[in-house]
Amino acid sequence: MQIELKHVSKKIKGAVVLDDVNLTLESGKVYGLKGKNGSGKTMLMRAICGLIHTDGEIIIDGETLGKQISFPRSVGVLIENPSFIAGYTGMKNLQILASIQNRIGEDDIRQTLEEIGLDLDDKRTFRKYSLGMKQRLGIAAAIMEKPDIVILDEPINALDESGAKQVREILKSQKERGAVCIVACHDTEELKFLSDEIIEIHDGRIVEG
Amino acid sequence: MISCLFLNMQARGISRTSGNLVTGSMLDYFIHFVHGMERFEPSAQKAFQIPVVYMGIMIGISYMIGGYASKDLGTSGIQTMTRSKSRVSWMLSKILWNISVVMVVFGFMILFSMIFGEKNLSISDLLCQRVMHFHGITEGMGAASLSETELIGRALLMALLTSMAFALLQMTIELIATPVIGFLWNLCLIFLSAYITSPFLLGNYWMLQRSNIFLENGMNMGGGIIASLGVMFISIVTDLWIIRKKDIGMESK
Repeated sequence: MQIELKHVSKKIKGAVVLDDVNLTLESGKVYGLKGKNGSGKTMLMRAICGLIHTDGEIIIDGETLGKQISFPRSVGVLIENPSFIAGYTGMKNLQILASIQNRIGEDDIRQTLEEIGLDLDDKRTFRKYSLGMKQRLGIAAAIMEKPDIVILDEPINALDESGAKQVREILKSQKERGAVCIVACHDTEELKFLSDEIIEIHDGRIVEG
Repeated sequence: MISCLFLNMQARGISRTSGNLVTGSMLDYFIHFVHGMERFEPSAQKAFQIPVVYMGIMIGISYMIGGYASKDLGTSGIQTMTRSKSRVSWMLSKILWNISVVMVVFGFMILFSMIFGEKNLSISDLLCQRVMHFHGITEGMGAASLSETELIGRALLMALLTSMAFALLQMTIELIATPVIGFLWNLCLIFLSAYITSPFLLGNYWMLQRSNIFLENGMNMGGGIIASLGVMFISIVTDLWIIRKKDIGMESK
């Protein structure tokens, strides 16, 4: 698995949010995106997910986003606030999402929930989840299908120390199974801890790679 | 339900004052939902009276569908799209959802008409005239050789199609602009349709009293079907075009 970004740029209402980004991301590595608010971290993640149209090329395993493929063939995403059907339990929400691709069964979902530290038999609906639980469920949704690309925007937001530790473990296991992991985090120390490589973004430009 | 309760109370009142038992059939109750209002002619003597039932139903539907697609696009939509790998499938699911909401509302209208009304299809002229200010309904049906079943079918079809067209149009505007603008657009269209009798204002086809059966130079059913289906078609085509071009997840920005 390889993701290549060639001269990727994006303007929104005249403002440059991504400016000639050139990157190569490889499997089995965790890439940490570092930068201030509004520097372009989330925008870069959206671009790799195929959610926004950009100038330049994003090539995933030889296929160009927006040309050969509309979205990466295998991607798990947590961008901004996790959102699910409020009246359903976490388990039910994940079952609904999993039914779209039908690649995993209930055992895989249960295993993911366990891994992220959510109670398998919790009957509470998503509406009644705490912020930390919502975040955990968002991470579970992103990784449950063992995607080739894992994109997590601020994964340790709202998590306590044990939650942050579980995220570290999860990223380690994702990396070991060969996924390309892209993580954005405000906490520089935590990001260093989580990532194999830090990519700094400033005003939509890669400063350091 | 409020509309049915209101008609029920009015029927009881008329029964008391006239000495005749006026109960109202399920057709009366359904007509009360879709009768709308007669043509409004602005004058110094006659103030505009808001057609509460028509506006209540239309604004209610507008409120129910308002913002859903747009909100979903930036939240759960990301999860479903990255899994289904298709923007179009997501859009089609929202179109289907939109149409379903309208159908559920109409389902409830029929259900409440059946619960409140007598189980027959007779029309009470007295209720139509006194409560709905709908004059000459039986004469109009007679002149058009229209049976009660045909009337209910016609009224249901027109109101249903027009509501769907309104709902889909609102979603399209919401995707182009914002949910608030989509809602306000519909609000204006709903109000203007009541105020001005014109075939170019879609809400006119919704109101049974504005039909050419009951109103000279009123709305033609064929024209209403073409206009509603046309708006629905244009909205769907525009939605599918927009979703292919749209940057997703920017809704909260």
